[in-house]
Amino acid sequence: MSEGGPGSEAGPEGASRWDRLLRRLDVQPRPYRALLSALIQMDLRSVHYGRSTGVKPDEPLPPLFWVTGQLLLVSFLSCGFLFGRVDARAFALCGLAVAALSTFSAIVVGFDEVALDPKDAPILGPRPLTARTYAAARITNLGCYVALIGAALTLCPALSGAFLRDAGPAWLPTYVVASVAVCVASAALALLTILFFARRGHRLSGAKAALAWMQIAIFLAVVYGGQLVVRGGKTELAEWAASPPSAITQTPLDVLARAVAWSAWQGPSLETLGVLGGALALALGLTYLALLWLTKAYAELASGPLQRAKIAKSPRAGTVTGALSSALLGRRRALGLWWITTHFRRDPGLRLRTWPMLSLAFAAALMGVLSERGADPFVVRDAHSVVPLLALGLIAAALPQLALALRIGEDPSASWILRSAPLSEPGKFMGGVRLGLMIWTVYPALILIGVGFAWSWGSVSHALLAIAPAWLLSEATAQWSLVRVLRGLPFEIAAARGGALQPAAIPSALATGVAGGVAALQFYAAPNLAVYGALVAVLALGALAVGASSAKAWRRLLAPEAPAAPSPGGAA
Amino acid sequence: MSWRERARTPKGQAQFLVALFAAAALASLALGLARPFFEGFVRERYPQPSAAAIRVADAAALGSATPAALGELSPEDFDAVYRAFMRQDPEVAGPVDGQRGDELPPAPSGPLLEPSAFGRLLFAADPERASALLRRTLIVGSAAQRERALLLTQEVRGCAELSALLDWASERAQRTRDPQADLVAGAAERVRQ
Repeated sequence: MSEGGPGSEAGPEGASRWDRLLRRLDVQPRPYRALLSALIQMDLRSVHYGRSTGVKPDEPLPPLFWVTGQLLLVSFLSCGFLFGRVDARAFALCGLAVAALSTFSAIVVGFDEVALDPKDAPILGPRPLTARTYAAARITNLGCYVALIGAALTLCPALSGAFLRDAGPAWLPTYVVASVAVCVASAALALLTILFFARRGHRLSGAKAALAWMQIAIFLAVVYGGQLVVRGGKTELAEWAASPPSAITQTPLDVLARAVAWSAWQGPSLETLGVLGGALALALGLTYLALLWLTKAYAELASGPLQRAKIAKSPRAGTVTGALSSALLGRRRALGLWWITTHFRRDPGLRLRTWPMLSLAFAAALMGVLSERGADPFVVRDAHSVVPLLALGLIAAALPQLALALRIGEDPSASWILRSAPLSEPGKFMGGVRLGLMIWTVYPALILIGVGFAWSWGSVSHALLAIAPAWLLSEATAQWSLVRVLRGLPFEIAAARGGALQPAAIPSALATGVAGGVAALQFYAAPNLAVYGALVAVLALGALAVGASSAKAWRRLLAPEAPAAPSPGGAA
Repeated sequence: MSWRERARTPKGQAQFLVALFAAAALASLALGLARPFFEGFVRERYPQPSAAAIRVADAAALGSATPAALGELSPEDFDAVYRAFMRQDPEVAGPVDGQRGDELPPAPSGPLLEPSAFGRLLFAADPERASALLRRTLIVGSAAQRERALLLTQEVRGCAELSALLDWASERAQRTRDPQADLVAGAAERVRQ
């Protein structure tokens, strides 16, 4: 980026007022408009949100549209569940907390797109663009983004809250001021956090990928929490909101919520106006600090530390764990395990493609326990004990989708290197891959849900008994799913092509049916331990049989001399 | 220009975003204007009490139960006795029975609990727990449930826990413009005497 250029000279006499203002600020109007337009179009195609919203590059409505819709929906649903159940203070507190969390995550996720991307330097460097013009376009773009997110998070509580019993005409302006202060302060804090880590060489790519799912997590919390209140008749939330604990009442958010509620009830007072003014001043102060850091980062963009992303440590050969896994599993299996583990460690996208597949099992287990439908099947003999068994079965049912997620890779062309490697025993190598998949996804889920059931039922042995069939079924389903869905080496397909569920549709349906059937058998076998033991033994034999047949299938699918697939025309 | 073509331009996408905000604004206004509808869903649920609680409730209705007998109950059974009282007016308790929880409790067949005498007994047995039960009803109960629960305080005097609760509830009812604010304030005044 040059410090002067053709756009920085005085413009024609007929320039608009806006252009004259930009020139007075030493900003080139035309490059500024062009860059801002490009940045806004980039915002609309945010890559991280593209993953979390499932929007493909060829779809007309961009990820940002769905993200804005999600924010409006989360905000509206939380208002709907709280409306009439809590007073204005709790209503404001909830709205402001959702706004603070969502704005923080939105800025972290969209930082590269909206605030600062180190890749800009090589692209814009040769162009006649001053550093100040670049900074102005970036900051305007950031302002637009924060305004959009803030508006989506403010609209619903500001309008519906005005009709609360204890709200008056002052609700709308005071809530809007408080929400603007919270969104701006939260955005500034997010910027300061990212810049702080960026100066130390951390790009926070894992955190960005994880926070892209924050809205989905808040959405699920609102929907499931709302169901517990409305359908389950849980009263704890309303009782808690009527007199929150001191840990909440001392937070700045609650102070602000109290000021909003008091103004809405009695009209604005000097004290409440002081609180709102203080919040705005704090937000502006944080924004000033964030913009100072950001401007400094823009100046350093061409050669500064921001470009130096921390390079991931390469795996060290000859470690103790490597030797142990080779001894225990054999060299081929240990190699497959190391390979898949390295992918899980390095690629946050892979974790994000796989872990959410298990959310249904966790949701079912949680709903079962919280709605008192999660009874111990070895003690209670009625419908109250079905949900835990189904929740465990859902882990196995997710395996075809997990296998499908393994097809997609960040660098699919690298799979040719693996294809050309002398893979003498592909069945064992894929056995290691399967073990890695289980270690990173299924085993933690089984353990977490099992610990939850052990705590809920007060019996570790019953939890272990309930988990055993689910574990054996998961082993068999994993072997079968990898053969049926993957049908080759993992990570061979580019991420942009990863949307089609077709290869996993029928295996998923079959796996869900079998998992449901096994859960039903568990339920009926639970009263008699001998019958239950026979069921576990049958499942273990089944898992061994599936393992043997899948090893054969892998030898056929990945054999070096495997004939090429016939061409569509059939001409050979 | 089809909507797909329009959506591919920045202007078209801005229009879609404006439409999204307009829809959200309308939905929020509809939510606010339908307050009576939403308040109709706010009520406390009183599931079937335990057999032990029903026995104590029957004894209380016949005048043979003592505060000590009530105080010896487990916390769950103590709550269940309160539920038994609320369920004696099925319309007030609302639908809670049946497989889907959509049936009213059955009409009471045994002796009925007299609210003021039962309230005296309840607050004498365990004022802290009885106040907690009343507090829950005052926060999450429907208007009819709150009214019935307040009947329990008619003949209770000088109970510090209840007095503190009703002072707090009265201030809250005034603040939230509760239609029963005067009823709560009256109860607070009476208990304080």
